[in-house]
Amino acid sequence: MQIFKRIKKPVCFLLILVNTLSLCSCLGAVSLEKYGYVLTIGLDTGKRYKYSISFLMENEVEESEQKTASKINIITAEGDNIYDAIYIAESGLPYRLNFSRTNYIVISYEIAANDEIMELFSTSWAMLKLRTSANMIVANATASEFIEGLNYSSSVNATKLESNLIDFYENEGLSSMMSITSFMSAIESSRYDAVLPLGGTDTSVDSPPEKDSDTTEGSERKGGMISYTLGAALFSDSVLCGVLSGRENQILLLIQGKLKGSVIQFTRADGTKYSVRIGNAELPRIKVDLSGDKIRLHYSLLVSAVLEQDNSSKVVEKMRKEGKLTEDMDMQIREFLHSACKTVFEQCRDVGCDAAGVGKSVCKEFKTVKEWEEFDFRSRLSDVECDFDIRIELADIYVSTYPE
Amino acid sequence: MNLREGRVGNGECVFTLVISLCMSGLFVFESIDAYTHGNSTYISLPIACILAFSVFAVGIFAMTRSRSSDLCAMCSYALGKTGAAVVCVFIIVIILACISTLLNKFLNVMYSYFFQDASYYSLAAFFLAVLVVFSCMGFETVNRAAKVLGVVFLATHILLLVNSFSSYETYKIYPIAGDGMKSMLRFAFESGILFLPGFVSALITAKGMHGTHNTSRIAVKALIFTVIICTVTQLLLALSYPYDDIAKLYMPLYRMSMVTGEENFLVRLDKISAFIWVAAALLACSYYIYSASLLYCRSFRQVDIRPASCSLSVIVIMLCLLSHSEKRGAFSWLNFVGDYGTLLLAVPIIAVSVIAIIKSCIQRSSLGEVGHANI
Repeated sequence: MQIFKRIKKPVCFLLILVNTLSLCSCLGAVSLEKYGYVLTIGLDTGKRYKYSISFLMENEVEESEQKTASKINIITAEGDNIYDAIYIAESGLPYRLNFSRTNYIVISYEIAANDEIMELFSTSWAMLKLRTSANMIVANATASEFIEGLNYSSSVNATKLESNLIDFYENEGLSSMMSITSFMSAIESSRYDAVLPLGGTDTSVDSPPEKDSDTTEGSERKGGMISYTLGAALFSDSVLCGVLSGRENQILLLIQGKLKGSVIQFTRADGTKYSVRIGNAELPRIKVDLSGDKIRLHYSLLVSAVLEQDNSSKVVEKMRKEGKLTEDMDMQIREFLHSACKTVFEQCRDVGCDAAGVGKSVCKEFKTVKEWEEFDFRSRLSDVECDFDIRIELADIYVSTYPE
Repeated sequence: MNLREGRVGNGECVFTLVISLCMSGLFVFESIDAYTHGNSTYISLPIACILAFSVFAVGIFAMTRSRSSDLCAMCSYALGKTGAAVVCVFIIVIILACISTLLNKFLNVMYSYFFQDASYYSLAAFFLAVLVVFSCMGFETVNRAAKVLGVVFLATHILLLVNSFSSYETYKIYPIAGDGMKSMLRFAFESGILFLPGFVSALITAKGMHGTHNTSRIAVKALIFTVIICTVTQLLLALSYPYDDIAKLYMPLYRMSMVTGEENFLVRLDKISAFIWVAAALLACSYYIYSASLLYCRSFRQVDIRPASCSLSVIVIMLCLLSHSEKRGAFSWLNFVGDYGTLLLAVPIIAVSVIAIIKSCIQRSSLGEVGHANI
C-alpha cells in the first residue's frame, strides 16, 4: 500500500502528460492533396500587367511497374504583385499553392537591372510562408525560359537540383550562392553587395548551336538540362550592375575567403604542364588605410595548393622531399593569382559593386555611428584601391606521373 | 484573509524575478529607438538593470531600517496611511503601464506572425483568461510555475543563441560605441523602467520571500543572472545584425534563427521559442499583476486579492486594446511612461525610502535618549 501511495503522484503526472498528447492536433487540418507545392518561383516582366510570375510545381505522382516518377508542371500568371498572380493562378487550379518547399527564386535579367526587385520583395514573405533559406538566381534570359529548361528527361528531382547547386558552389566555386536572407541583409546593411548565381539557357544541348549564346559560357555542350548556372550576377544595392564568368567567380570567392577548391592548369617554360587545386587556407587579412583621399586596402591571402597533375616526375619527387612548391611554380601561381585578383576586384569596383565586402572592413575603423555615416562609404566605393599579398602553401600532392 | 501569499523557496523566487526582468529587458523596448543610432544595448541594458537594482537597494535598506515587512508597510510608516495609499496607487498605475507594454508586444507578434486570421480582441481574451487565473491563484502558484518554465526558457534561449552561431560576424557590431557615451547613458537611464517593475514587485512581495534580508539575496542573484542573459543576448544580436538592419525589425530575437540562411532541423526554432516567450511573458505579467493587486489590497485593507487581480488584469488588457486601436490618449500616455517611467517609478520609492530612513533614525535616537534618561 505504501508503494502505491508513493507512486501515485508520478503515475498521475504521467497519465496527464500522455493524455495531453491527444490534444496536439491541427486546428485546421488540410489534406496534402489540397496543396500544390511550388518548387521554384520565376519573376519576369509581364505583357498586360507589371509582372509575369511562373510557378514550377511538383505535385503529381505517376506509378508504373518499373518506376515512380514525379510530374512537374509550370504555371504562369500575371499580376501587379505576387499576390495578384497567385490568385489568378489558383483560380484555375484544383489546389492551393504552398510555398513551404520553394527552393529557388529565379529573377529575370530585366527585372534585376531595372531595380524592380525591391518592389516585389517589399511583400511580406512571412504571409507566403516562404522559406528564407530559398536561394536566388538571376537568369540571363527570362525566368520562365530558365525554369522550362530545368525539365530534364522524364523526371525532375528538385531536391537534387538544389544540392547540386550547393555542391557546385562549394567544390568548384564556378557559381555563387545566396539565400533570400543574405540578399536582403546585403541590401539593408550597405556594408557589402549581393552576388547572385547567374543562370543561363543553352538550347543547343539537343541540336547544333545557331548563335553564340546557344552555348554554355562559350563551350558547346550536348545532353543535360537546357538551363545551367555558371558565373555570378553583381548587384549595386538592389540593382543588377554586372556579371562575372565562372572563372572570375572563383577568383571573387578567393578574395572573399570562401574558395574551397578550384583547379587551374599551368605550363612551365620547359613545356611541362601541371594542375593545382587552390583554395583559401584561412580568411583574408585586410588592412585599411583611410589616411589619404582614397581608401587603400591591403589584402593578405594564404592560398593552399594541392598538386593534382604534373607531367614532370622529377619535380614531383623534389616537392615531396621538400614539402613545398618549387620556386618557379610558386612565382607562376602567385603572379597569376595576383593579376586575376586585381582584375576581378577592379571589375567589381568599377561597376559599383562591393562584392568583396570592403565595407565590412572599413566600418571597423570608425568609433561612432555619426563618423561612419558622415564618411558615406558607398559614395567612395569607386575610390577604393587594393593590393594583394599572396602566399602559397603546398597542402598535398595527388599526381599520376608520366615518364618524361 | 485571502491574499494568496504563501511562502516559497529561494529558487522559485529567483526564477520568477529572472524571467520577469529578462522578458522586460529583452522584448519591451522598440528597436527603432534602441538601434537607429547604433547598437550599444549590450552596454546600456546591464547599466539600466544595475540602476534599477540600486533603487531596489535603497528601498530594501529603508525597509530593513524601518523594520517594515514590505513596501506598503514602509510607505505607511513613512507617510501615514493616506499618504501611503496615494503613493501606492501611483506605483500601481505605472506598473500597469509597464505590463501593458510587455503584453502588447507579444499580442502583436501573435497577431502578425501566427494567427493572421484571428482578431486581436480574441487573442487578448485568451491572454486575459491566463492573467486572471494565475494572478488569482497567488504567489506560490506563480513562483512554482516560474521554476518549471524557467528551465525550459533558459534551455530554449541557449539553443537559439547557439543555433545562430554561423551568422555571427564581428563587422556587424561596428561602430562599437554606437552613438557615443552620452547617447548610451541616456538610453540606459530611460531603460531603467524595463527592470524597475520586477524589483518593485520584489519589494511588494518581500513577506512571501521570507523577509527583507532574504529578498535582497534573491534580488542580487536575479540581477547577476539577468545581466548575464541580457548582455550576452544583446551582444550576439549585435553580431547577427548591423545596427541599420536590426532597427527595422519588430522583434529581432524572433528572427534570429532564420538569419543564418542555412537549413537544419532547428530552423523553425523561432516558432517554438515564441511560444515559450509568450508563456514567460504571461507569467511575468501575472506576477506583476499579483504584486500590484497585493499592494492595492494592503493599502486599502482589502481581505481578498481576487477582485483586485481580476480588475487589474482587465485594465491591462484594455490598455493593450486601446493602444492597438491607436486611441490617442492611451497611446501618448503609454509613450510618456516609456520615456519618463524610470523617474516616475524611482522617485516616489526613493523619496519614501529616504523619509522612512530619516524617521527610523529619529526614532532610534529618541529611544536611545529615553534609555539614557531611564538609567
